[in-house]
Amino acid sequence: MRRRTGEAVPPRMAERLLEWAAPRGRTGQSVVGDAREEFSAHLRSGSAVPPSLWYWLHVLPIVVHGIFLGLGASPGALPRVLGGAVRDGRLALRTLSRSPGASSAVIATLALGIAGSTVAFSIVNAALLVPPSYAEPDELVGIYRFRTDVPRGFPDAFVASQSYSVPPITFRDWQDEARSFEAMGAFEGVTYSYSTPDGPVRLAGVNATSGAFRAFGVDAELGRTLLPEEDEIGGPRVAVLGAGFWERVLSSDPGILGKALPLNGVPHVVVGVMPSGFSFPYAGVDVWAPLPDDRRGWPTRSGGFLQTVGRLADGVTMEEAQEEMTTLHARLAAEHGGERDSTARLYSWRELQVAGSRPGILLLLSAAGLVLLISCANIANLLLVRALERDRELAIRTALGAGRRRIAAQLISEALVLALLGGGVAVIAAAAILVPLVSTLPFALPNAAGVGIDPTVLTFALLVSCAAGLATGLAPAWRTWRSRTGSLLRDAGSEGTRSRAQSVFAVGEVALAFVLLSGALLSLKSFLDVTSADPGFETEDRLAMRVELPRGDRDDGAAVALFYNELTDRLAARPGVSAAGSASQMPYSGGVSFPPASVETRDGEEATNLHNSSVTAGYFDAAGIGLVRGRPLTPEDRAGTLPVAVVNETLARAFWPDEDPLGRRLRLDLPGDSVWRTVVGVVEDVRYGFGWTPFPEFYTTIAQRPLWYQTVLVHSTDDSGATAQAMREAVWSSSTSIPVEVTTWDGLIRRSSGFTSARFASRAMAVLATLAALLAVVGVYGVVAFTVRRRRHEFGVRVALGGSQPGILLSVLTRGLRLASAGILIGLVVVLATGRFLDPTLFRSGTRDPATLTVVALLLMVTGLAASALPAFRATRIDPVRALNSE
Amino acid sequence: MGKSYLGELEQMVLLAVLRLGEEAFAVAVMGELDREAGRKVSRGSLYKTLDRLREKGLVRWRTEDGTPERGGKPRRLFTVTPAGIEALRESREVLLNLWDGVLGTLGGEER
Repeated sequence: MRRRTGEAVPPRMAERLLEWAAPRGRTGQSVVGDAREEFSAHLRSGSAVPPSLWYWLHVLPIVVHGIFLGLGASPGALPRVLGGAVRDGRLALRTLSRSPGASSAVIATLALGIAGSTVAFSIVNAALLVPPSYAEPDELVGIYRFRTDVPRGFPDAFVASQSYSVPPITFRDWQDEARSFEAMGAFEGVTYSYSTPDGPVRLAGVNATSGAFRAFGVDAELGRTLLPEEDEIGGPRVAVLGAGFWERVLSSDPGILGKALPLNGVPHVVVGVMPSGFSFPYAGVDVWAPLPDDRRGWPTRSGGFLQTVGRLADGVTMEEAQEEMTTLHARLAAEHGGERDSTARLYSWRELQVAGSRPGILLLLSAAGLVLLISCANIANLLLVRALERDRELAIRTALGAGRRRIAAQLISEALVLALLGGGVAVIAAAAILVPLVSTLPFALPNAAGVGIDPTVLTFALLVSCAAGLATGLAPAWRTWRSRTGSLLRDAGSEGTRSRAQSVFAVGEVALAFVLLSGALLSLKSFLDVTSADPGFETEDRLAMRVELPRGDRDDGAAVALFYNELTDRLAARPGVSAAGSASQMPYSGGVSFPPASVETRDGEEATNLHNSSVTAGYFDAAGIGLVRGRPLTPEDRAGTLPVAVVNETLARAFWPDEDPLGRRLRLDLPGDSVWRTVVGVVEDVRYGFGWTPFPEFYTTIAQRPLWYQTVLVHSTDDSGATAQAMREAVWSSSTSIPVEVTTWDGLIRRSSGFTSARFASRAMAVLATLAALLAVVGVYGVVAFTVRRRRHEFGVRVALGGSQPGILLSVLTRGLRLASAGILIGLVVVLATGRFLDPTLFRSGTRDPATLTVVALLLMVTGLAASALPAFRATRIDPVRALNSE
Repeated sequence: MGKSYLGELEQMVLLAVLRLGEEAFAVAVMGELDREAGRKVSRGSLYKTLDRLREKGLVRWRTEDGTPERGGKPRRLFTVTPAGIEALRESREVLLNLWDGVLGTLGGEER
């Protein structure tokens, strides 16, 4: 809403509306100008209310005054219009309270639709609309390095989607030379162990440069953030604490500044506490600290581990900054070899935060919107029927002098009153289910804590209720409006118009239900497709435990290898345990890493990137990864013996097609680790994440490539919990300062984002689709039942004349089937036309799956039949004498 | 036709316009009412009241050309007419007469 020139421009539509409602001429223009002026003042005030929302809320009351009271009109207008509205509302309440059952059903149905939309909107509001806690969010960008080539053996899409981290040298070049940024900072996600009286806990840590805090522009709540001198090698060890950690673990100790906290066993002096709600790079970080010396001093341009964030300098656009970074990075690449085949790309930081959750949120919102539409159609239908049944009452009122305008207004008022009551119930229901619902959402919701019923959400619910009221009241009001005076009393309107309007609603409901049901089935199918893909390892009866050695114990490679070998050997020897092993990178446990590497091929050495995991000898057995050729890694592959590697099938196929991979060599290109390793075996591919394809990977033994972090995996058929306890104790027997958490491997998979979002989509869609189908049944039933009631006389005559019962049954069932088929056809067209706009990650198997669409069509046909069965049966039981007498 | 008395909001708006002098624009009047009287008036009621006061001949306005901040839209500067001042004075007298001797009952203090 704000342009760089400082000129304030309110939402165009709102201003147009105001211009329309205000009186003509300079008086009206001055009203619009006043609103502009106040809008500028609101922008300057830095209020938390989003400017466009503020403007709408400001303008609407003026518009209402303008329309109903007539700005500048005669003074008598006010009491007349107000009096009319009050009278209509009261009359509506009285009429509705006369049939409490029907009214409650209407209110409940509307509440269902409005509550769903309100819940979905409050999530959208918190995640996508509420501005983040840092200033000028549009200026904050993430700077990422992407490959421009695809290394051999990697799926194209995977490479295109993965940025890769930046080494400190590259970051410093960017920081020193780029002119487009006011501040630039780098950071790396880490964990810290911290000892509490209840045992060691693992803290979410971020090692960052001071520039990252300057880029965010958020001050510490207490003390300060990091300083530039703390970025230097040999600088002091300091820590900035997250508000959550400070409150939860340190009991909001106000004297914490200056105290030293042991993090990973190393004292860090606390210099600041950040405000709660500060989310960098994500919510819930416990500790920020400068990069440790060995990371700052990383000697090469390969093997990066930093992510970069920057704030655009004043007046610099994203495009200009991108242009500079592209040129700068290309020059660095030409000057230094290490940057070959990569490019720097800028992304809006805010966009990065919401991108992951947007498809899920929007799916939820649109599905909820469809359910609302269906419930409106349902209610409109119901009100239409009621209006028809009240023809006589309305006709008498007309005869007594009530104008068509008044009667139409009354019908709309009734619908509005119903919708507002429904909206009230909906808001209460939404408030009740919102918090538990958000905690089950699979995607990390930006600003999850901000989800709630706030003024924006209330306004939304109010607008939706009014819209629903108008939508449902319009049909009966329109009908009254069009009927000629007196005709209401004479007959009950023409049969044709009445059932046509009703049928339109019923068909619409079936069509919407078709859309939702196919969405639900398609997402369920995608979910099953992903879950049934062979991951390449066994997941049953597997317990996993992440172990990270304290900093002091990390550097002695032999000791690290000994620790993990002994730990897994001890666990493997336990009764009930059939195998135990550990790996630095394990599927579904989070990160993947692709260090630079070289492979010996027929044409010489090829520089590439490979996935690498350093494992203990028991890992393949514990994970159930099968050996294809050669031999596995064994305890005999020690530090002093021939360096060996085991590769996966994808790597073997990619680099040595039609050749024997055994005896070939490859190596890592990392500082301090570039020894050639001989391939001794080939194992099956595994998938590291949901829906991912396998990539080239090799395994090394922990003895020959000691890494201080491992995930220990135990295959145990004992489910008494004793094994889990033994795993914890095995670690604590050597060090009590290592935090551990044991989970099942199944549990790890179920927590992975791909799994949870696919499951969430299919579940949410299933719930909403069921609601839609139920509402559609009610809709079809209502129409068919009404038809039967209206045709009592005709059916009575048919029975009296000896018409067959099956004939009557068939004619009613056909009516229901016809409605259903029309709805299905329309729904099919909608699905086919809109399917390609749906998010491919939620609908992997496409949206034009004939089998699924056929199933949905059949399902709705049966539903249509079922809905007309009861009225059809009733039609056959009509007593001709009574039917004929009642007319 | 009987004598017409000023409504409470009408009095307040007239007083605010008087206090603001050369600065009596609609937005300023609203700010003045909020600041000095603690009264949050909706824009609709304010415009309505100003219209009514003009119809009664108690205020008049002239329009000035707009600033960029107002998107170039004109603004109205309100002034109280002699009739308006007379109406205010009458209202004040009527109220003072009625208040006379009531403060003791209400527990207030004479100033």
